[in-house]
Order: sequence, then structure tokens, then C-alpha cells
Amino acid sequence: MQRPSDPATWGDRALAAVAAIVAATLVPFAGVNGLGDALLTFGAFVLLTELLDTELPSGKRLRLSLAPGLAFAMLEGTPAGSASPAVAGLTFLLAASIAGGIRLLAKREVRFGEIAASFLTVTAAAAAYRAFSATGPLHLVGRDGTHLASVTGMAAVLAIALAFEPIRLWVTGAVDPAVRRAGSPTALVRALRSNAALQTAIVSIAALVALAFPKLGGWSFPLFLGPLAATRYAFRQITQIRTTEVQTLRALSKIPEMAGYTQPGHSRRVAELAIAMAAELGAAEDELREIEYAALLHDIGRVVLEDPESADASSLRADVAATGASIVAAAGTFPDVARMIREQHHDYRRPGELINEEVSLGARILRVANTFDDLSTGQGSTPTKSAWESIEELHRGAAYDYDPTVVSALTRVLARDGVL
Amino acid sequence: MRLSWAARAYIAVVVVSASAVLMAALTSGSSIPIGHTILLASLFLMAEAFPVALPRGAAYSVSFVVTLAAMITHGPAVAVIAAGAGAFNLRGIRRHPAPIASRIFNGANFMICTGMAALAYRASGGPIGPELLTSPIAGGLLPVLVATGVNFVANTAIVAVMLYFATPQSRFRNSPWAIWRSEFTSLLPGYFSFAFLGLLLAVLYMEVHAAAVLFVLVPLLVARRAFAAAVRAQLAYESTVESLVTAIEAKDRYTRDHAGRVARLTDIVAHEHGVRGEQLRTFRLAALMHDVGKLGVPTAVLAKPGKLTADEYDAMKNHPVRGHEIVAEIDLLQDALAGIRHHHERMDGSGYPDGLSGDQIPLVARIIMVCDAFDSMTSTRAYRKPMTMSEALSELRRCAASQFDPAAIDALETALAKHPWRAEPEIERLRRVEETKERKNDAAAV
Repeated sequence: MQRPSDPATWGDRALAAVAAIVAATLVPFAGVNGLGDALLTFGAFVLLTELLDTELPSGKRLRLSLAPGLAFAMLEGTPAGSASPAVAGLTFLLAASIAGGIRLLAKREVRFGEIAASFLTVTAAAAAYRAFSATGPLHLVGRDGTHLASVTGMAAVLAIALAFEPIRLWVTGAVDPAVRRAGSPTALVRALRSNAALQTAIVSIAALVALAFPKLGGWSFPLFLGPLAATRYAFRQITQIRTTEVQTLRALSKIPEMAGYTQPGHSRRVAELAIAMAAELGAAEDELREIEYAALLHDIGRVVLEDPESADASSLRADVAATGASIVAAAGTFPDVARMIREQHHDYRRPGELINEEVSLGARILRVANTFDDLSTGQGSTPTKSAWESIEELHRGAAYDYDPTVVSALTRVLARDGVL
Repeated sequence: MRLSWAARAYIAVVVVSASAVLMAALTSGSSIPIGHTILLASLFLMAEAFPVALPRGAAYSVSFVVTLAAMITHGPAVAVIAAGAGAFNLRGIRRHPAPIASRIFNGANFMICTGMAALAYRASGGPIGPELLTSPIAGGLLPVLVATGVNFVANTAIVAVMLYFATPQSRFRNSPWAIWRSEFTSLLPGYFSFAFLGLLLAVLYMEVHAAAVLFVLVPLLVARRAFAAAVRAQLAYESTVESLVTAIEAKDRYTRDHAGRVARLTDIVAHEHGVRGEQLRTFRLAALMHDVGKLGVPTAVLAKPGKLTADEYDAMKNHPVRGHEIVAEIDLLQDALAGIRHHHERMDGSGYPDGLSGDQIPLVARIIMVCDAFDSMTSTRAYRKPMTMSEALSELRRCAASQFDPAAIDALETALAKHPWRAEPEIERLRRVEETKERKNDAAAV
């Protein structure tokens, strides 16, 4: 599933502008008394973690650099010295920008919006830590009685980190642009929930580094790199398996075409349309994946039917749907995909009802995408129609066959792609 | 299932050894503060409560980080006692038949490997307790690695032997060494990447506050969850591909589950040939999809009872090339694609599609060829009854050199002697034919 994203969206630019203003305001307050070593160490680790790309299986990025950034913000009042919000934020910004420059030189993608969002997060977290550690009742004290950390301050940092996450996701376009346009808050809530555990882990690592730093100095970072590297490795494994899975299903989807039952490229075109429509309608990441799989495999039942030509059209459609669904259901891994395939020929409503609740959204999308591709490529006995004629045909069928909201989503997708 | 006498005897030996380790640890002279011991034992149980399931039914947890911290902060005795708490964990080796025996075994196992690791840590000069606070941290790095290595080897070896005894006795049972290799070697990097976290945990424990260690659990749990998700995704992918291919194959009921069996045969034969790890996986997947090109041949041609026309014959004969085209875009399979394209070549060069001969034919294709032929011969076809396995092997030998690679046949024979193998069970086949009919009826009813 590749969705091209424009690296410099309005959100990126706006965030970068806000970050620049904040940074300029902070500069006069950035005194670095007695922070020499810590400054260098934390800056170096921000730089290093910025250089590491950690892509989550969902395609979003994990901001590993927040761990050293937030740790620096929590050094306040420890024997290692205090970093004011200005120092913490500007150190982060400087290190992250250097890393961005290196990435640019290496011709790798740089997302300035993300750097800006992380900078704002670190600055706000440092301010919150300072405010709450002074007033909070719970303090962690070292063996020799020195102050090491404030528990309330840490909680404040966690709250800030979690609160800034939606801003980053929303503004930097980590939430799918189509989903954002559709304005679906559920998709955002889901994206947040799936990230909350990781965000909490990053904040705990930051807290650990801040606690260990006075004793271990720079050693506290390498000691943490183990679990981080392991987690990153596991994520990469998952991403690789997912890629292989999509590629495999795409490969298998070519079988009905090779046997001459459908037009060349039919399944893949239907899948591309279906994903775009589902995103337009605000489907979440994992739903998009299942809709793609269902679209790729929707004709797989044709391969098994022994004599597909003899049956009449509507009973053939039912056979293809039921056989395909039972093949996917047998795999057991994607029950919802099997369901979409089974319902791919169902009407979205019957006389006297508003909508047939039994037909899933995925199945309604699949039906419209499938019919559109059949009409516009001249599958079956119908002559090839233009995109507009095909859309008109779908509108005429909107009485019972095709869900009108899905048909308008298709219209929007086609208009955006310049097909209409 | 009841435990065999050998398994029980083995558990008894492990428990006796654990008691010896405990005695040695208790008499080693370090003090045992009750409160700290209880705290560490509970942390250990917490880490144990979230294991990562491994393919064969064993489980892996990150609890070692806690025992490592215990041996650094308080020495061997406290570490061994905390590890013994593992006996009170409700989970354990999933396949293990008796929960009580399983818990005792787990607890004893933890005590032995922790005791050995603690002794190794001390022997390699690792700072213990207050020494940690006064010595430079770099001095603890090497001893931590040594302790991790000892713990890993002891733990996995003890479990591998247990898995060996827990598997029903037959001449096909894998040796403990083979179990260990297939089960545990892949864990090594993960194990070591967590080792230093144990040292860090110890420092925080000593330096700050025991409660600070709760922070350590969060990244540990996230890492654990990521690993578990990776294992799940892997298993789900393979089972999805296998069931899809198997189900699509059903269009020719005589080849039902043929691909699955060829994949399993290829797996054991390639392993016999020394193919390992990722490459073995791609071989298995290639074997699973070796006939995928046939699925693109119209059903009417495949099921045609009489003679095929020249065009139809060409379509049939072209299936390795079609198969190759279908799966060509799967990156993971790039190295194994040749297995799909060339599985109808012959050693003397008279095969298709490219007329390769001898060593020109890639290893994966030579293996799939033999497994494919062996499974076809030992299963029912429209025109004949199945051969027995030994008949099929001698038939393969007869065609060796001209058609098959003799080395692959040797590997097949050795592999069959090591692994239980059942060619297409008759009852299974009939049941599946029934299922296919039912599915068609269902399809007609919708």
C-alpha cells in the first residue's frame, strides 16, 4: 500500500514557522552554566537517534529522538546540572537540525514538521517538568540524599508527550491525508491509541536516562540502546512480513487473469480504487489493509469453479463470492476479508430500508469499485464505457445496488486523480 | 498425556541439581535481606508473566534482566531465591502436560541457570552490591556479558532436553541438539540486547530507589510486545499463503494439499542439505507455490479427461513460466524463484522450460523436483493407485541421473528416516473431497 505524501504540506510549514518563532524567543534565555558535558552528550544522542529511521508497521514513524530530548528536560535540579526549557529545547533543535542536514546530504527524506513538533514537545515538557517538580510532593532521592527526579514532574512530561502526539500526527500528515480531509475523529483516536504505548515507553526511557545520568553519565545511553535496537528490529521484521504478504496476495490475485476469467490488471485496479475510496470515507489503517486484501482476492473463487461460463451472470456472481469467501475463510487469518468477499454482490439496501446493516462498508466499496472497473474496461458483454458513463451507470443503480455515499466517494477519488 | 518415566527422571535430576545450586548459593556468604528478596522475586514473576510464545510451544521471557539485576545488587543467593519464584508462575512451557511438574521444573531450571550465571559473574570480576557504586561502570560490562552467555546456554540446554523427553518416543524424534539449534539459536541476539538493561536496573536499584525499576518494565514490555507481534505476523503469513494455495488447488481434487506436502518435504530435505534460516523459509515458500502457474490454466483444460490439443498442452507445459511470472514481484522469494521456474527441468537437459542440465539447475529446483515427484507417486491419481514410499524411492533412484539429482534423493531418504512422514492419508483425502462438495452446495444455495 503506497500512499505518496507531499513532504512539505501546509502543516509542516506552519509548524516550522511556529517552531522558529519559539526558538528565536528562547535564545536570550539559553544560559549553559555548568552544563557542558551533559549538553554534548544529550545533543549527540538526539543527533544519533534522529539519524535512525524507525518506521512502525503502520507506516508511521517513531520519534526515538524524543527519548534523549525529554531526558534532558528532566535533568532539572540533579547533580548533573539543570537544563532550562530554553536550553533543553534549543539543544534538541540544534542537534535535530544537524541530523536533518546530514540526511539531506545523504539524499534521505527530512520531515521538518516532525522536527518542529518534537522541538515544541521537548520545550513544553521541560517547562512542565520545572513547574511541577517545584510544587509536587513526590521526589526520588539518591543514596547520598541528592535530588534525582520529581515523580509529579515526570507525570507532567508524560502528559505533555501524549498531548503533543495528536498535533504531530495531524499536522505532519502522519494521519492519512484522505482521512484528514474526511475529518474522521475516530481514525485519529485510533492512531493515538495505537501510539500511546510506544509514547509511554519513550517517556519511561527518558525518565530512566534522567535518573541514571548523574551516576552513569554518557553510559546510560548505550545501556538503553539494546532494548531500543531490539524493538526496532522487531518492527522491521513486522514491516517486512507485511510487505511480503501484500506482494504475495497481489501475486495470487493475478491467477484469475492468467486463466482468462477477468481483464488483465482487474484485481489490482479494483484494489487501488477501493483503498482510495475507503480512505476517502475515513477508514483506519488496518481496515484499509483488509479492504485491499479483499479487493485483490475478490475474484479468486473463479479459479475453483469448474465451468464458469455456463452459469447465468447473477448466480455466477454469487458462486464466485461464496467460493472466494470460503477460500479466504479457510485461511482463518482474515475473517473480515472473507466477509467482504462473501458480501461483494449484495445490495446495499432492500426495498423499505435505509441501508442493509448486514452488508459491511468494505463489501459496499468493493462492489462499486468492481463494477466501475468492469464498466470502464468493458468486462463481460457490455461495451467499454468512459469514466463518466460508468459513474452515471452507478448513479442509476444507486436505488438498491450501489451505496450512493460510496459512489460519491468514488467520484471524488476519480476527480482528484484527473480521471473525470 | 502423561509424562514418560524418562521425562520424570529428568525433572528429578534437574530439581536435585537446583537444590545443590541453592545450597552452594546460600553458603556463599552473602547476606539475604528479606524485603529486597521479596521485591526482586515479585519483579521476576511480573517479567515472567508476559512470555513470548515460540513456534514449538516453549516460551521466552525477559525475566533474565531481573535476575541479572539481583545478582549484581545482592549476589548469588538472593538471585537464586528470586529465580526460584518462577515456580509460582502460572504459565510455563505450554506443551507441558502436568502444571505442577511444569512449575517445579521451571523453578528449578531458573535456579540452576541463575546460580551458574551469578557464579560466572563473580568469577569474571563483576562488582557486587556497594562495589558497584564505587567502581567505574565500564568494569561491569564484560562480566554482564559472561553471565548472560552462561545463563543463555544453561537455560536453553535444560529446556531443549526437556522438550526432547516430552516428545513422544519414536525413531523420528529430533535430538536435543537439533531441537536446541532450531528453537533457540535465533534468540541469542535478543537475549544479549537486553543484558545491559540488567546492569542499568541494578544501578538504579542501588543508587536511586527500588521503585525506579518500575520504569524499566515499560520499555521491556513494549519490546516484548513487538517481538510477539513479529512472531504472530510470521506465523499468520505462512498459514495464510498455505491455506490460500491449498484452497485454490482444490480445483483439481487429486492434487489436494499436494503443495502443502511438497513444501513440508522440501523443508526437511533442504534442511538435510544444510539449508538454514531465512533461505530455508524461502525454499519452503517456493515449494508451496511451485505449481501456482497451473492455477492460471483454465479449469476446463485441467479437468479435461481426454487428450489435450496442442494449444492446451502448451498451456499446461508453460505453467512453470507462468508461475514464475506470478510470484516474480515477491521480493522475499527472489532467490527461490528459480525453484518455481525450473521444477520441470531434467538432469540430462531434456526438461522444460529452459532445458537446463545438471548443476545448471538451481538447488532449490532440484529439491522441489524430487519432492514433487515423490508426493505425486505416493498419492492417488485419476489413472492409478498410490505407490508405497519405498516403491516411490526406488522409482526415483531408477530415474536418477537422467531426471533427478541423486544427492537430493539421498537427502530425501535420510530426511524420511528422521521425520515421521505420511503420504496423503486416505481418510483425510475422502473427507476433503466431501468438504469440496459441501462447499459447492453452499455456494449454490447462496
